Amino acid sequence: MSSKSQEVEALLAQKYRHGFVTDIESDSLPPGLDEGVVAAISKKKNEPQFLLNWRLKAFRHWQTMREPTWAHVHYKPIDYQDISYYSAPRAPANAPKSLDEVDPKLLATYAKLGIPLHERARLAGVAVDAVFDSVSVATTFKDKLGKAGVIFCSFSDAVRDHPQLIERYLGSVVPPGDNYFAALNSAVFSDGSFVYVPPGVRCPMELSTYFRINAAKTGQFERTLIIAAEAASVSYLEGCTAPMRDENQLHAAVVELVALDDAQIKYSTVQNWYPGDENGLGGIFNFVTKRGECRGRNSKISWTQVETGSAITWKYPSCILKGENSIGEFYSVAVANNYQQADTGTKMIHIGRNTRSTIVSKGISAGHAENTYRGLVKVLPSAAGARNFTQCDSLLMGPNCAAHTFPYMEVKNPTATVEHEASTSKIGEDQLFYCLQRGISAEDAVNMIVSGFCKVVFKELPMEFAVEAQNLLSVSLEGAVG
Amino acid sequence: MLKITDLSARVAGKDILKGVNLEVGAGEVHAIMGPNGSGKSTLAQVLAGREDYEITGGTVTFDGQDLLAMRAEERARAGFFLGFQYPVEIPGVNNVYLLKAALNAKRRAAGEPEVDAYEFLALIRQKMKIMQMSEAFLTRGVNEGFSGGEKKRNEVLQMLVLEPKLAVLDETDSGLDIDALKVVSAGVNTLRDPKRAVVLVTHYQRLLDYIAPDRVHVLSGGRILKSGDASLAQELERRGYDWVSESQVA
Amino acid sequence: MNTALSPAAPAQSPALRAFAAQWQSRPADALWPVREKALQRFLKLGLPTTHDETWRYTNLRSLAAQSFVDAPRKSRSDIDPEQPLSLLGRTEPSVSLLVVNGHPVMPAAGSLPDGIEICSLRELAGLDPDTLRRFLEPLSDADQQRWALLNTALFLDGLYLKITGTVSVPLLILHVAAGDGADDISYPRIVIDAAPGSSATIFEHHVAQGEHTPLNNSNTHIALGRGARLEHYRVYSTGAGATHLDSLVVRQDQDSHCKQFTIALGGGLVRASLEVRLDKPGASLDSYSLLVGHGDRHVDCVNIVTHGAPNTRSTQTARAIAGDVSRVIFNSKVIVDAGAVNAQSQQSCRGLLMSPTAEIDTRPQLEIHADEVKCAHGATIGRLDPDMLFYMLSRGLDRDTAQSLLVYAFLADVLTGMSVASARASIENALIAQLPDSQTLQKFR
Ligand SMILES: Nc1ncnc2c1ncn2[C@@H]1O[C@H](COP(=O)(O)OP(=O)(O)O)[C@@H](O)[C@H]1O
Ligand SMILES: [Mg+2]
Repeated sequence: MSSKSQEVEALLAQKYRHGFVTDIESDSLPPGLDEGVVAAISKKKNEPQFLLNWRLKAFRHWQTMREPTWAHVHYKPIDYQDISYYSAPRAPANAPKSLDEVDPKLLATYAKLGIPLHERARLAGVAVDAVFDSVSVATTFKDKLGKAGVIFCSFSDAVRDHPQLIERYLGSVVPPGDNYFAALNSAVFSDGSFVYVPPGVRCPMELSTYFRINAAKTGQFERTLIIAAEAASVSYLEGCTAPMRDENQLHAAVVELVALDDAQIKYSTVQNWYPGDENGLGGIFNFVTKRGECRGRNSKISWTQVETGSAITWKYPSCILKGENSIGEFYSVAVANNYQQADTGTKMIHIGRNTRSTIVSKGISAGHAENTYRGLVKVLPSAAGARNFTQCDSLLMGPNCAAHTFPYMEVKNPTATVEHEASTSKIGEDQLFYCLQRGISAEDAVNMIVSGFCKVVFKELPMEFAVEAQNLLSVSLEGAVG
Repeated sequence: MLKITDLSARVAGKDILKGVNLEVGAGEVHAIMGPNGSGKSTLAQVLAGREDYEITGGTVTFDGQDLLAMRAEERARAGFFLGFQYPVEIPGVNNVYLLKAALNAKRRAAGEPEVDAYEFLALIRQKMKIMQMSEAFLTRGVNEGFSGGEKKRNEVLQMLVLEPKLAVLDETDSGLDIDALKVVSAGVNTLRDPKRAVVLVTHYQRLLDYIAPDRVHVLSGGRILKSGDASLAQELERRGYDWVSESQVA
Repeated sequence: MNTALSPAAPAQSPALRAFAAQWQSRPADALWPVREKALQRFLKLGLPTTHDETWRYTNLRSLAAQSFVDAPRKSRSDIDPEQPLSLLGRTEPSVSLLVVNGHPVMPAAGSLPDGIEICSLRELAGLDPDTLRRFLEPLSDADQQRWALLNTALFLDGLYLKITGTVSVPLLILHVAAGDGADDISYPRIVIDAAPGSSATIFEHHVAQGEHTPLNNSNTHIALGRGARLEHYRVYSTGAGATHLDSLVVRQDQDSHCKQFTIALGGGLVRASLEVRLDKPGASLDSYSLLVGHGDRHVDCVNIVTHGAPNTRSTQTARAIAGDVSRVIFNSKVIVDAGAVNAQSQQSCRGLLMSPTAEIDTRPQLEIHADEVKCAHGATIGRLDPDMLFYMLSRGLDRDTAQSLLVYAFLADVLTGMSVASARASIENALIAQLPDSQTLQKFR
């Protein structure tokens, strides 16, 4: 193993590729948080009164809450007064009217990230809403979507142009007081994406958002709201990156999905926030609340995530299966290397009759990382005929990492069937040896084996992103075997 | 003995049987053939009393009784036997327990005394000989780890022990090699007598070489499209099921 | 009289005040420093709440209001001899030891088989406090050990069993709970110290007599020496009004093997915890749990198995059934410490829900800190398989019989692990008596 491990060490030294800082003026609030800051954010965005009230209520509730400690993660206490809660890139004039008006440096940033924003966007047929720090910068393909009746815009635009939809759906899945980080987000969120797909419409293209935290000492608190009306369907992808900085940055987003009768929402995430360096310095704290509600009958919500970044991940994309025959899915690959800590999983709450859910979780730990799957499957007495299947596998690479599996199964209906399977093992030495013997390099062999391990999840991703996810995976794990 | 009139049934919101008519008299052997998915197993399961199937119309009488009004276990005790196409495995429940429980349930229902362990063992040994099964099968879980062919033999063994008036055997010949087919056929033939009847659901003429049917029916699209004597089976073997649907249209 | 309790310990609820008062009446023997520490920790931590991870599904709030007093000490003559108490029947050669409300009734000299020596804990505290102290420490703040902490502080007596060789007959410890009032509490404590190379089979059977069943805060500590083998059963058969908080701790030396059965047949609220440390190479554990809920019973079983050394192996097999308005919880955790290479663990947990008002909760957890491991778990919760049921009905079986047979089959994986035939038979009998068609089933065994 030793020659192999040296090779691998060398590979491991591979650095985070997206760590560069964009040098543009930004318009930020000074660090600190009180009601004045909340009001200032709201005012900067010209928000209607109901939204200000909503924020203030959330803020007051947040002040009564305690930061959760149950997750299997360890970090120094966060000083919430040392964070700036608003940081918008200052554009030359007011808001850009079109892509051409967007700060070219910003576009260059996206290009470096390999984001299909401009030319590539068109080629790939992807509509992108890019959130840079806290403000949505530009949205492409508005026209084509508009013709189909699909609303896809920044959250701020939605507040301005569709306040009745916002008022109706905001907080209807994740109430402002749901948890500590959701409450914080509800008070200070600055922007995000909004999607509304009207009844009967299949969204004609993949929708996509790229999130990036740029400014130092800023938190990012974006908010995403997606509504698929009766018989509508949409596939949405978010990507995340952040520059290398040696302090920790906070990302506390909230994503709400609503699927009405016969509607389908597919939400995919490729998360590559800066994970910190090989000694565990810096990196993003990713404390995110994602929840979808299958409100209508025969509706379906599917979460797919590939999580390779962040110093700490705390994230449980969940489904509330209210509508009869509704379906929830969760497919996840979570990779933790070096000193990363990931505590992620899902909740499937079965309320309606004949609701079904599938959970597939693949955790990979390397270096000194801790990777935890935490999942709740709850079947309420009303959910006759409910079914769940959970498969959760962990792969360990190296003697110093850890992998945990914490499922909760709570069943109150005797006609339900809930099944859970889990395994934890080391990457197969014999598989590795087989590949080496056939002349494949250790790196390639590991990649092959790991991507085989993750295949069931990758195949759930939209085509363009499956490749990206695969690449990310190999970058994150380079050198991790030894 | 069995009279099916305009029987319709649906499962999971889908209409499968759409007016089946069939009459089986004592002493007769009938064969039901038909393409995959035509509803043969559905018919068999509906007759056995499976609850997932919703009866949407029609009547079935068995020995003058309203079969559809009876529960599954009552039908079994009244002498109706279903040989399953896919016999379920029941780990932990002993094969011989099940058989004994079934036989005694039937005897109790008929007001007969239960068999004691000694009689039962003698009976089962005799039947297992016919089926050429080793005694090891007795102590295993019901169908647990049995091969496809062993499961089918076990079905016929149960039939021989229970001595039903009417046996519906759903593809009991599928997956059997030629020797097993002979054994299974011999088993079925021992049950042939003027007071009993057998309905064979099958795809293959070869079973009918060993168990000669009095009548052959073609079930397609949830209806009996054609009925005839044993020669119909041979014609089907030659010309395929399409021929039936076409000739029906013509 | 013990007066050493520091007044700093806060005791807000009647229960905590009562425990503090009980402490005042404990003898100030050589062990009081460690026992006092245990009490202080307990009082500081308080009763566990549903915010504590292993108590998520069991709410003990109602206990806080009770002013507990020690259950009375009783002698053999106070126990109703008519009530059939033995788990092992009359045919199996066995040795019984009686423990009433935690107080052992010592057997006549010479009545014990070879390979075993016993002594009461009270005696041991006087003769050899260092040995006893080894079984009281280390104290743990972990929430699954909360009641063990209280037992350590407040137990009045108990049994120390030293297994020195091969004990050829099963040993039955019959715990009788027989209180005088509604606020009685008892602290039974058993220590099983198995010498290297020894082997034994030990039953702990918990039953109740009379109108009042004390709150039973029992604790058993098992230490297996190198190569020792133990088959241990704890069977709860108390009445529907009984509350039983039982903790079992097992520490295993090299190449030792423990087969452990936890069988909940009775009791109103049963909380059974099992904590095993496989601290030396080659140690192995096979744990079986059979948890039956009916009426409005609440059964909460917590297993925590730690692989602390290389080449350790554990299996956990749990079968839970919940009917009526009962709730059954099976919470199991396997921890593999860093360095415990080649650890292997298997957890299989299956739950059967028999009524629309019952609930089963299960959490099969893995916490793995080493990479050369093979750990897996499977858990299911559901009803009897409808295909199996239909198959049996179509053969003419009664619905009740068919269901009972399937339930029986469901439990088979646990029952077949039992090596003592008479115990298996009487446990099966007790189980079958709770199934819908017990008569037919009896005939089929
Ligand atoms: N439980 C069920 N749920 C949904 N569809 C079913 C079910 N059972 C049978 N079917 C459908 O009914 C049709 C008839 O099936 P079956 O009776 O098994 O056909 P055959 O035995 O003639 O091959 C098929 O299309 C089959 O898929
Ligand atoms: Mg069929």
